[in-house]
Amino acid sequence: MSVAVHALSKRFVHSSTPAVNEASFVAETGAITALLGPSGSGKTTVLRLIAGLEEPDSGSIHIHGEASEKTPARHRGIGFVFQSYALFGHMTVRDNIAFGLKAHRWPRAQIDARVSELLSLIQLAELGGRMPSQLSGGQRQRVAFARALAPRPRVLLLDEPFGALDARVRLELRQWLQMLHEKTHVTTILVTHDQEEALELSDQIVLMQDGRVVQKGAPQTLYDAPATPFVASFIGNASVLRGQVQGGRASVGSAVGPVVAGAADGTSVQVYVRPSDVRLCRPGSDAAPVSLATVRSLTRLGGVIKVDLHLPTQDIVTVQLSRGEAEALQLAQGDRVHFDLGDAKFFVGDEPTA
Amino acid sequence: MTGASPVHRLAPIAREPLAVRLLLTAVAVAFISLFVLLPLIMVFTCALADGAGPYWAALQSPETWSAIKLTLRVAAVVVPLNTLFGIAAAWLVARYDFVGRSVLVTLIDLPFSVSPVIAGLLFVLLFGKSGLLGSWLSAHQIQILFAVPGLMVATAFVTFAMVARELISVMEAQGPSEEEAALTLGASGWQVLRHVTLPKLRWSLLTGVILCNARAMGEFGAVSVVSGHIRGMTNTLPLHVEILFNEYNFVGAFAVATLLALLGLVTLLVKRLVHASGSRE
Repeated sequence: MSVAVHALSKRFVHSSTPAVNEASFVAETGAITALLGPSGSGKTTVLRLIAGLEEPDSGSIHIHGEASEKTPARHRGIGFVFQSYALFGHMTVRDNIAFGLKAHRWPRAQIDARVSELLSLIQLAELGGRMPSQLSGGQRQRVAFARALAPRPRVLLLDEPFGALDARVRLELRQWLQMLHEKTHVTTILVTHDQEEALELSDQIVLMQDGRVVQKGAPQTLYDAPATPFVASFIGNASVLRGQVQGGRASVGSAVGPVVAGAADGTSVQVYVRPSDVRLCRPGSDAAPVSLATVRSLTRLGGVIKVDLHLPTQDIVTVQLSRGEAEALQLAQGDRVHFDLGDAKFFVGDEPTA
Repeated sequence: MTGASPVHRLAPIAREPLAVRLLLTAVAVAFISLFVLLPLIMVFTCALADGAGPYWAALQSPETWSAIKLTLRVAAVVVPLNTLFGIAAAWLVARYDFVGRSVLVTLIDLPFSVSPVIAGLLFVLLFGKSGLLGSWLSAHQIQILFAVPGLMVATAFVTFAMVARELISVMEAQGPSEEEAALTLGASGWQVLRHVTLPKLRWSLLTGVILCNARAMGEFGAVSVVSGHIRGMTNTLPLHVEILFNEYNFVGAFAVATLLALLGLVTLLVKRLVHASGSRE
């Protein structure tokens, strides 16, 4: 195993609540593990604790089986990439990449060879003599990756590495990171608040909320089997509906949702409906008006259509349709449609989601 | 670096009416002319009132020479000391969070806000004959008050925070992430300071040193109290100007004053050049 964090806790001096509260997970060797959560969930603090940039109050960190929580940052064998790039502004690109190698006292010739190798890996071979201020944001972040990878770290720690970039460059760099990872296979921990980024890039997601790990597992597992209402609402842009158990199924108004095992009729349930979970069809002539939803608005977002539905219970649900589906249904604003919540996630109980 | 972003000005369409702009400009120009430009010109015209000969003669008198040398000596000791202190204090305050940090920041600023005369008197109370350390010092035949060490101590006190303040504001604005990056890359604390922190700060450090030097050479109040005004011994340039002036030697007084005025102008010029170099990075 590679990076194992156990019962890690950290409270900052001027804060009343812990930033990280008994967090445990294992980031497997050669895999990308995403620390996902909203801002303030403690994910960056976990990363900084692993890096040795913060000291934990309690708990353990094992890097390649070695207890590391007391090891100074410079001896942990990690590479760290910051959201703000943190390149050395007074050094050229080459000198930035060479910094870690000089600190590790590599011989001159080897440093030159390694820096050239990395420059071509990040596809900036011609720009080695530039200063960081002469590069674009995406180029700067690639240099930051090269600088972190140069001393051959055992673990690569990425703190929202694409957070400061615009949408197009972010997508480009995401693919680039995937390619880079296939080449280097360095154990990677990625902090992000972007679920799409985590779902696309990672082998494992560790989802955090208020300093705690709420669920960890393969991206598909978190998507398909959210452990808590928070996970369900955070991953997949779900709308939250209140309903009741009727006839063994979660129901919102007259709309019948998924089967609920072992809950008596009348129990309150919360139903989490993702835009892709809802199926729509034109009502037959015999449909009771009470079971129909009204199309409130249609928004065209490139290749997909976003439909806001007004349910008979006064709830609003967002549904996503492909262009083909939308054209087949020929929806227009004010139309009444039949909807099916069969794929929605539900949680028994009244508690509002955090 | 400071000044890296272009200055934002209002577009013509967003500006105030012409009358308002003219009024504001007039007030600013009048004020600067009356209180800065005119006195500066007067210093030079008074110094050269009797022509260049008396001007040069005044500058070359032995007493003026010894004042110049003493001023340089004091600055040569005080500026490096306060630079070292400034780096250490800025590092501590900007990079560490500890109990009493805000007290320390306030204390660093204290010499800035206390009147220099009071600062001088503090040292009289400390080092004087009946002062706290007075009897011990005289028993060991160490002369601080009314001697060169006293001038240095007083000047150091007054210019204490010049470098530190400059560095603290820049370091707090830049944040620690470059230093953190260096640490994760395997650099030791010393390597981080030498290869990341100091190079990054070099322009603001230079600005701080220049300002510290200008203040050290130009200080009057605190130095006046601890100096004793012994000609050729404990007279710095500003004190020398006062003595000449009180003796109705106006040409002499203004001649020496031109040196201090030139020092000020050169300081501002160098500071601008440093800022320009800093902004280019």
